[in-house]
Amino acid sequence: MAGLVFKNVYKIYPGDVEAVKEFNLEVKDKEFVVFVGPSGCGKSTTLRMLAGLEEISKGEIYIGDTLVNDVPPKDRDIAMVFQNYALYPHMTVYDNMAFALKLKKYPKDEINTRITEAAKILGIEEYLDRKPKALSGGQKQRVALGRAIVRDPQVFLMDEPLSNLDAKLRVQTRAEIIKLHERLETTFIYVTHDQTEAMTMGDRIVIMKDGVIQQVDTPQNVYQNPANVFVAGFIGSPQMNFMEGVLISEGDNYSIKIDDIRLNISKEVGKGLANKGYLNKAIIIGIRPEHIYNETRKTQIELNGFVELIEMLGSEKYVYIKLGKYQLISIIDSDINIENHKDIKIYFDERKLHFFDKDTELAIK
Amino acid sequence: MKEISSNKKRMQINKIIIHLLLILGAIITIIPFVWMILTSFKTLGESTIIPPTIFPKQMQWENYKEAMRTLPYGKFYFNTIVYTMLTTIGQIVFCSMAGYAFARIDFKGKNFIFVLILSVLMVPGQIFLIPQFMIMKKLGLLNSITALVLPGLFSAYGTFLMRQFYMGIPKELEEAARLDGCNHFTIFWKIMTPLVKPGIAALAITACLYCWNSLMWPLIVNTSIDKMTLSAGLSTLSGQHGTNFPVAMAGTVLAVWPMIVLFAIFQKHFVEGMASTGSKS
Repeated sequence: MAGLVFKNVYKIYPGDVEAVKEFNLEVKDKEFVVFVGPSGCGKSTTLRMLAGLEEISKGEIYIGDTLVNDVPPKDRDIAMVFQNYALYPHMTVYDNMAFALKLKKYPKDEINTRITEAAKILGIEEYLDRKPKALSGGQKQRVALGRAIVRDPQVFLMDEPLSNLDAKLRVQTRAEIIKLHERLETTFIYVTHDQTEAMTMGDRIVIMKDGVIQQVDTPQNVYQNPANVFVAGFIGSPQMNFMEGVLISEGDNYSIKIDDIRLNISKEVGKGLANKGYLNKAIIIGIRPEHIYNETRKTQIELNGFVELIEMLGSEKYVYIKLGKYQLISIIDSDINIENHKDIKIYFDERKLHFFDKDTELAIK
Repeated sequence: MKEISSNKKRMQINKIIIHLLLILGAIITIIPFVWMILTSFKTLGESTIIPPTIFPKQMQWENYKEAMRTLPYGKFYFNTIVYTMLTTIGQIVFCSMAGYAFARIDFKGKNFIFVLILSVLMVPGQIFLIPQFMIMKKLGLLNSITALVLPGLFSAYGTFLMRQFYMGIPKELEEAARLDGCNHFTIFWKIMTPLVKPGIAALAITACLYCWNSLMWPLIVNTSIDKMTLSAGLSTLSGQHGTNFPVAMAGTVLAVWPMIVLFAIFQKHFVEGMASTGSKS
């Protein structure tokens, strides 16, 4: 078991392509950290540098107290689960799991004990004699996990391990991996492009874009206090609604002018923004879909919109509302009756509004 | 409905045409082979008669006895089998290793060296006969099985074939193996090579066929009848003052049957080998 430290890590490919820039992160022992971001953001590259499958162009990576920059993958005491499982097709499940231990010359009994134990945890005891091609996707993924478990590594690395599974199995395996982490009490680094996986699994989430860390925090903090427009938009589904407006004041009354629409805000919030130099300046206003209310929950900011489309999802509805030139998505309870193609009064709670600097796109705090 | 049925008809006609062409091709290919077998049972007179007869008037099994009396077939079979086996094993070992290196290891000048090896495929093999003969002579290896085997231990075609197979293996398997503690050799030996068995089978069959049928090199490098292979030995049946065709054909039938059996058994791998070099990038 060990913590990890990334110190100013860079990955630069030939032609000066910077895949990862200035990556600084400390992962505590036994922590479950998820790297999340769109494809090409450098999350997998960072994981692969940690695994030793990619060279580190600049910076230092420590596993425990050991600097591992020049340590070959096999000596890093890590195990990795790949997206496409990477099981050896010509070996049985047992041999796949035993392979690394055999190479390390573990005694036969020890190998057997470890495999039996791991197989029991994952419920794959009956498949041990099968070859990977005789297994389903979910079973293969369990074997891949088993292969990692038997090695009893200091750190588990997982590179999009659920991407090849169907939706139902993904949810099921997701829960199993969380339980596995609790049971094994080992450091987990998990890479995904799926924000739901990141939110549900991680103790902390590292959100990346263009090779740069955007925010590192707990799922709740990332959701409630996104550091910038990218994070605000990336985390949450459907994504946060954004509008552009200008903060204006008439005496002690503050409001945000979004084209022809006035969004009246309280003196405290208005003053707070004005004090930070945003008076008469353009800002980005963000509001999450579940925070756009209707007649059933009136709050201080009232606006007139037009319902363009309603999507029924069973327990809830997505209502697409036209507000000025913007289209907002609101999530409402499916029991609430909203008429399509009709005007609608919508309500915002100013405490649920997010403000971002228009130029830097950073959250105004 | 009418359109669908006319489409179906057109497809059927196309199928018939394709099959007719394939049958024609097969007939053209098989005629010399059938002719060889039929001639091997004719008398010398019948074999040269004009217009020729197709089926022998009387089966001349004597021709086979004669062929076996004239030439030391036991020695020829032994030499050919040793030559074929050693060359095939050599090609499997060296071509798999080279193919693996070209497919999976990054090193300086890799592409240049690979193109250089491929260029061997683009020149006729006869060009190498004289230099190879000179080398064998300098090494004092003429008239030996070693001389037969040495130049064929490595093949550009085999390297190319194996490279294609190794390239088809997902990178993650190699990475998983590295994390499991493998070095390049264990990855090659324990992970990759078991997965390219169809490629090895294809290479083995091609190498076997090539060696078994090879004529020029065995004929040049070994002149002693004791060290001759089947094909080289058979060529001695065509004399300066005329050839006994039925006996020569009987000798040829004796020489080719092992390869026909081999091809029949491993046909699938042979076709796979041919197809993979053409279709995989």
